[in-house]
Amino acid sequence: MATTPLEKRSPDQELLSPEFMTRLERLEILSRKIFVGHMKGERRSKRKGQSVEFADYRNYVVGDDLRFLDWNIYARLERPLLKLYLEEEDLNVTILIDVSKSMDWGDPHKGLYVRRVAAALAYIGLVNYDRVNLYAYSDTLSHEMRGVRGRRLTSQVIQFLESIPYQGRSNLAAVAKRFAVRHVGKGVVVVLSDFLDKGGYADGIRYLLSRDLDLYLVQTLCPEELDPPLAGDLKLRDVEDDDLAEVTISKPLLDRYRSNLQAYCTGLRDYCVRRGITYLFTSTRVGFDVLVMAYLRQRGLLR
Amino acid sequence: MSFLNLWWAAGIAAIVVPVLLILYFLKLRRREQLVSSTLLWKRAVQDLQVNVPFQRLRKNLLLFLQLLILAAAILALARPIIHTELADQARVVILIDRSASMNAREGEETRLDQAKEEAVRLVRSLNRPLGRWWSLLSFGQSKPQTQVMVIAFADRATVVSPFTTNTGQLVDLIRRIEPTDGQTDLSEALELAQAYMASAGPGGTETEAAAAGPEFPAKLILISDGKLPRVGKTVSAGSTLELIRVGRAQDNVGITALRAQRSYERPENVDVLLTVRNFGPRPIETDLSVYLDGTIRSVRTLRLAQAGPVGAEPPRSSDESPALADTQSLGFSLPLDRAAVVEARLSRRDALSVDNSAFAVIPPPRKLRVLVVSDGRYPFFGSVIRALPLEEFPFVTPAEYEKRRSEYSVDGQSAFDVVVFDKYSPDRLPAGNYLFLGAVPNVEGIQIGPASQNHGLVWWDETHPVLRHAALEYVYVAESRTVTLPPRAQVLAEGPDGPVLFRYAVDGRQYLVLTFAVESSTWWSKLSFVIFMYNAIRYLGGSESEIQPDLLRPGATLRIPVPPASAKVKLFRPDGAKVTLVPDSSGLAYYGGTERVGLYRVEGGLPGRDRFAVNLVDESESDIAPPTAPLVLDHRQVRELASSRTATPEVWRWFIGAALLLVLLEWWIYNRRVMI
Repeated sequence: MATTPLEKRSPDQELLSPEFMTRLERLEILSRKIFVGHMKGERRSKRKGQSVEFADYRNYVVGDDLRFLDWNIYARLERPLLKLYLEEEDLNVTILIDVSKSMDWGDPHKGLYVRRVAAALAYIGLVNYDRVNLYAYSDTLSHEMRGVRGRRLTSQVIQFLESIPYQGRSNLAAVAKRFAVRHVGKGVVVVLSDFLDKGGYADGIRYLLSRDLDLYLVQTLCPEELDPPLAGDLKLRDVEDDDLAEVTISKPLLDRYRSNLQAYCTGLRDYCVRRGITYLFTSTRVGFDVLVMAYLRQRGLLR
Repeated sequence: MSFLNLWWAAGIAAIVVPVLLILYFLKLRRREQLVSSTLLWKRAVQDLQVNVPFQRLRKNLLLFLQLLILAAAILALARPIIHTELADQARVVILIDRSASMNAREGEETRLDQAKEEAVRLVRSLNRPLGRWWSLLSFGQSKPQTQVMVIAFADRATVVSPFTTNTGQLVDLIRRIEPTDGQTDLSEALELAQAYMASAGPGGTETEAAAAGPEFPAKLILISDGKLPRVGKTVSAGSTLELIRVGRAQDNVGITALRAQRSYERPENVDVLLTVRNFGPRPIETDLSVYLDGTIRSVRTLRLAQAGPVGAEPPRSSDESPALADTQSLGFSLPLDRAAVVEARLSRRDALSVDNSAFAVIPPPRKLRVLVVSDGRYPFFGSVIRALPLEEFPFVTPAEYEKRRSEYSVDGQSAFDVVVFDKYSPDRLPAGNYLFLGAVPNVEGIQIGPASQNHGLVWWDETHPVLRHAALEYVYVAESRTVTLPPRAQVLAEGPDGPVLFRYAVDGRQYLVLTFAVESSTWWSKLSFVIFMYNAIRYLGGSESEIQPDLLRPGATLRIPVPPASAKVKLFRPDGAKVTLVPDSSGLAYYGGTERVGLYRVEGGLPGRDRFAVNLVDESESDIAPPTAPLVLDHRQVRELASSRTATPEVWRWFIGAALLLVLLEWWIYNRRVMI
């Protein structure tokens, strides 16, 4: 329930500490898929091009650059074959951050946690000369910062992340639809959210899948959601849409809540696994450095 | 089951139940609480509501349970009682033991106090006043009331209250039962109870008398510490006896025997013999002090072992320390040249204080003055008199006696302790004690018949002090007078034709009469005649207190000799109360109210015989430890009742317990409930 203005955050609430940033520099973002990049980068591309790494041969056709003919083959086989090299290009790293009001919740704070993860991923991307795109969404894509490249922009990225306010209710389906239309280029997409979406998560994920992206979902919940510290006869008010639920807290009800939460998370995970999406669940109680340095590396997003 | 407070509870129910119902229909006010998302909550609530059947019923079930809880609580407030078999008895006799052992202290109160409280509780639980409404419910068949009778007993039984249903009066009378130091004798109490059970008792009507016949026997409830040494009686058929046992204390040391008397050889010395016994479970050490008229004269420290089992040998000791027994006998010899009261006192405080002191009354060392009126023809008679330890014993002839008659009487009373008439009977005698040998006093009621010749003695009263240790088997009488005696005369020996030795007391004069002359029988040559003379002089001379048992038990009747001139005497009891007694024609006053141990003092009595010591000295009463064996009455074991049992126990605890169980059930159901 921390509603502290972002400007007034104490040093321990800063998104990235210098020490952590040095640890992050050793990492890079991986993609299980090889995408076509825009610019020359440090990643293998689908395109054949100019690098030192051999890729393939092909028959010479008229108009090809004679510089790439393999003369040794020509001498042996008397056939002109062209030598192809792997092209190295940059990677699109897109991070979608949920900034709906439900993220402004919990102790440790969900929103801060998510921003920290985003900042860490973005920093890794910047260090490795990837194209980093940041989107903040609630019911629409409210804030965005696209095409950031190079580590000198790190401070701008962090400033951007710190400046996003919490607003509105989350609507992943609408946002994903809009994102799919607007977002050009392929690459890694990381969605950071609690996925507590009244409209359901399935539609949104389907829209994201339609663009053949390497998709990572990180579901972040706070301890208050995992184990509600509630008692008595209550009228529960939803912070996003002021929806009311009258409950009398009892042990069976709490048990039922927990099993429902479990089932919800399991359902999301199964949905993702079936569609080749990497799903990761985390509680904000797990340190975000642990998440970044251990869990995301285990899942193959980072190396 | 009945209720004592039904109206009151109904009033509370009338207020509380509507309040509960109103509260129930008021909407629950819920606290508002922000959450990040209601998504999962709604789902959980829906799931629970779908999963649990009878969702609608649940709200009503809680109300129903709460009503049940209220009902149980209100019924508990109504003070429900149940009628036990005891309460259905038509007649209940409560026998309260008030013997000496019931004076044992149990903490703050005595056993008798506890017994009285038990009795009061029992009486109160019988005939409880029920609401009128309840008697309407029972269709007019009102329960017959229980008639309760209360008897207090020690060595004698007293009816505290005859059969009655008046609880208040019974409680009042039970509270007024006074303790005694008597022994325990249940048989008289049982006889008394059965006498009352057979008749309706005073105050009973004709119909009650019919109902109290053998087909409606009573229930006898004995409240005692269980020390009942003399139970030979049984209750009549159909009646049952049950015991409520009180008392748990064991610690007691008591004086179980005391004898104090002047030694015959040296009358100025008093020998005191006593026995002290420890009845407690631990070895004790105590000081035994002997007081003479309240002045301490001797102290000894006693060490007594713990009470062993009855009849057991004292434990064998090692060589160094002498064996300790639980009983120790001691003797004191104290110089005493006057009348005094000897008191032995144990300094140790224990549960029963009655037996911690014992008294004995010592008469003054006194020798008798005896006047012998005889013609002096038989010298052996004089030598017998001379052999007795007497102060003076002038011999006069009948003629001299008649001449100096006025010298021998002072204020209408004989100047001598005893006057012996040998074969002579004067016309008139002053008040005094007289021994007639071979003559009969001229007293109204004694008629002299013809002579009886050559006979032996048929019967004699060996137990009488006068004939103690005197064997009359070989006494033959040549000639005796037959006499006809008034009814109150006490015959001590009989010949074939009637009494030959009798005692008769009238108008302050006491006569001991032998109807034959000693020399006309073989008795003069026998040792028993000397013993008889010794006994007779001592008996008539008033020193029979040495012949009588020294120790009077509580409840014994005091026989108080009164100076012939006084019309009444005052008796001071040990507790300070004063009783005025009127002597009967024989010059004795009787007093039977000696329930308490201690010294009874007579004002205006004969000097030296004006104090009486009543002592417990009873091992069975001093042994206050509760018996381990069950009480057996006429070879049947007496059923024991729990001490807290009442005839109509209150059972509100059950209802409170049920209410608590219901609260638990309600809370459980409430916790399983989910309401949106």
